[in-house]
Amino acid sequence: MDRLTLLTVTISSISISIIACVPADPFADTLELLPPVTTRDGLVWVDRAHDELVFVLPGAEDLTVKRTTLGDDRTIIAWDAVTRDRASVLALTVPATAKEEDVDEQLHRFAAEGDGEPVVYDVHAPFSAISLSPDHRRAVLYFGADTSAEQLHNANQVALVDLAGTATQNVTLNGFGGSLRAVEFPGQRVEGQPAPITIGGVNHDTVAFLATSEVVLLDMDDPALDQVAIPLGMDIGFAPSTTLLRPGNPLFVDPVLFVRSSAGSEVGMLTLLPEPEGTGFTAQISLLSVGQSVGDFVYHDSETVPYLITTDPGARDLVFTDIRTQGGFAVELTDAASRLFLRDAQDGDTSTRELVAWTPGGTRISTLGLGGIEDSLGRKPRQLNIETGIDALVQLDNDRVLVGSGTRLYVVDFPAEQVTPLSSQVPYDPLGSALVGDRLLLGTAGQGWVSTVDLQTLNPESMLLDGTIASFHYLPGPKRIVVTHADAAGHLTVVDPADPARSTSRVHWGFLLSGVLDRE
Amino acid sequence: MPTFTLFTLSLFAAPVATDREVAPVEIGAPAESAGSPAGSAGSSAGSSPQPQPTPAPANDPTEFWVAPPGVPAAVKAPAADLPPPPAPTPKPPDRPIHWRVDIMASLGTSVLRDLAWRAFDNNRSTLQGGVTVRADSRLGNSRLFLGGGAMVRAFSAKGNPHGLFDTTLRVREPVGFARLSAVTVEGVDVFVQAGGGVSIIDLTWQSAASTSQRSIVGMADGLAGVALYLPKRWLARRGASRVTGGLELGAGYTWRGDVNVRPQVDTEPDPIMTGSSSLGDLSLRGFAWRLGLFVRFQ
Repeated sequence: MDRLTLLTVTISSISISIIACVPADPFADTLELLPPVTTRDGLVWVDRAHDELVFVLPGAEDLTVKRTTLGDDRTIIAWDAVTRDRASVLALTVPATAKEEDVDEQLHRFAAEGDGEPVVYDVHAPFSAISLSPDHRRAVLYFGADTSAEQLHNANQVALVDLAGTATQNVTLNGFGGSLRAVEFPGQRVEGQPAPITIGGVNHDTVAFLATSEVVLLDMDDPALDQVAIPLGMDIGFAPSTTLLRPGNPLFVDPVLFVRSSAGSEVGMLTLLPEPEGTGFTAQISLLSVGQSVGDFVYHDSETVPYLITTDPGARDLVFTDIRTQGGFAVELTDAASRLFLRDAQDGDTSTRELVAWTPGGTRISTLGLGGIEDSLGRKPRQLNIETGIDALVQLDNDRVLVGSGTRLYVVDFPAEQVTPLSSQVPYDPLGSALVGDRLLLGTAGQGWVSTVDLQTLNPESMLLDGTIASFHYLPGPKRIVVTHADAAGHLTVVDPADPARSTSRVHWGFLLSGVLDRE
Repeated sequence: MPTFTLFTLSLFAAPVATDREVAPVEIGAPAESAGSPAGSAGSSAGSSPQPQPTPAPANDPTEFWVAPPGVPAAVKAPAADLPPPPAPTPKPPDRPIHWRVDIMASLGTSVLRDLAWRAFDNNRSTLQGGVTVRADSRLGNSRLFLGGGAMVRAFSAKGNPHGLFDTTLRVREPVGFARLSAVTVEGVDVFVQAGGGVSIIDLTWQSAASTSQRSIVGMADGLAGVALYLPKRWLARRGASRVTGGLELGAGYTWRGDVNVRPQVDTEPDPIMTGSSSLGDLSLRGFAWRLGLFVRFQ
């Protein structure tokens, strides 16, 4: 080999080596971000491209951004959620591809501030839905709408996750063949407060799994996880959609779980009874016929009668059913109603329960005092008119509701029977509002204003933003409104709800790209 | 690089080459007229060798040749019959090279290793253009020239990171430098130069919002290479030439200070107080080469 050939070979080798050592372009991949979730102190995005959670914590003046790696190239973050107390962020990692056979599905629980190591739960399946208990103690993972990409998966497989600890229990529901549709925690009506169901003097922390034509009850405190499966009539097309627990009391000693169907005219009444042997429980089934259809239901105890109150949108009735005798009566409504809630009404020095009925698209809110309801003869509901129609109704407190109606907002005061309209530029979106004390905060997506309404004086104030709103968030920790603007780089405005003014607000840009140029 | 250094030192240690001043220009015989007696005389001289006439101081500016002693005056052609010989151009004096002034336009590339650069260009190399003015002078009677100059250099880039953003970057650099050249043979110089200045960096990062940033950072670079130019002897005026030209090929390394990329949102008047997050550091350092064309005044 002569010198020229040797030189040529050497130069070629060096050139090829240099070309081969050129690192890959770190900006070639698409940036894939999931929508933010709201914690107590900030917003959290999932950056799927980099397998990271991005914690964005607004302060009074500045913005703190923390990135936490979750998983690696063999995994992908399927979804994330925030716990009901907003103190933790949950994220599920699953294998990135079906070729990754030795990667387990894991749920990770991070502190809302993004500090520290996460708690890891092996959940063993790529669940697509999560239900969080109102008492903040547990999460139930399940396959929601059968969207799993797995070739074969058990639609009735669930994972019970102890959010206060590190335990996970995998369970397959022993039902009658129905696929799981929803998970509810009956009886838990107060946030952060444990509300076990007392059956025969024994407390049961019960979860209800609503499957096609059946309900499965399970005591999450039971080490054996005994299940109670209740068929509710596939032949009549009963499809459980919502549950309502009535605790036992002297009027009806045993707790009752009412189950409403998304179709049909019956309400399932499951009387929960202690097992003859052991400490478990069982259910006694009956179907209550409550008219032509069932829109919504509540229970009410009069002085002598335990009632189940249902709406019958087809017949424009409120149906009162004595759950002991299954007999009842109806009170006619002027308009059909498909939604119900109860409030306390002051009648002089006495407090009575009052039923409020309404329906989306309707033009009236009906109220019916329940004092002495046993004697319903001639009793007629009172009406509050919403002339432009009801799009959405949010209960602000015991005495007031907020009604969205096109580009108008109505604040309805029940004691005063007063309806105050507020004009807006865009339709009201319940997701774009928050109630902080007596101040209603509004930041509807698509508009360029943040508004506040003093519910004592009904005085609205608006602050012009420098961009249109993509999403609205209220952070109870720093007591700040955060509105995001559509921008993949990260763009948000922090507003002080106590003094919403441009001079006290701050805009931050680029936080989702923080440090992006320093990546290796 | 050691090889290059040894090569450079060997050039400096070599014997001094001939100066750029070219050898005296030979002056040819004047044109002869076919019908002149002098031509006859020339012919007869060819048959009987005669001593060659030697130039004599010309009393008559039109005469360059006078008869040698002993030659009859009749040989001299009457002025009325012969056309006057063409007046030769006076030979301009040679100009030894003591100083040189160059104006150069150059193009080159720089290979930037920092991965952050890929946010602004998917190519690691960037094309640079510049204009240079420099001057140097001879060190004593050696072949070395020492000088300096100033250069304005610029380059730009466009990027599309993640397919979501549009980025631009423009760099302008006024640079001062010192330069040492060695004349190996006339027409071939090797040189080293080192300089510094500032990089004025303007960048934009376009997302749903428009952002921009101007940063000024220090820079320094070192360069070595070779300059090829037309030697005097190839030029019309030869040793008296004042202007030449050539090309220069150089390679080296350019260092620039880090840029903390934190572009500010372009806002309308009276905005809400707006801040930006730092996207990281951008380091525009790397090896560079350039090719320049220059005109030299000397």
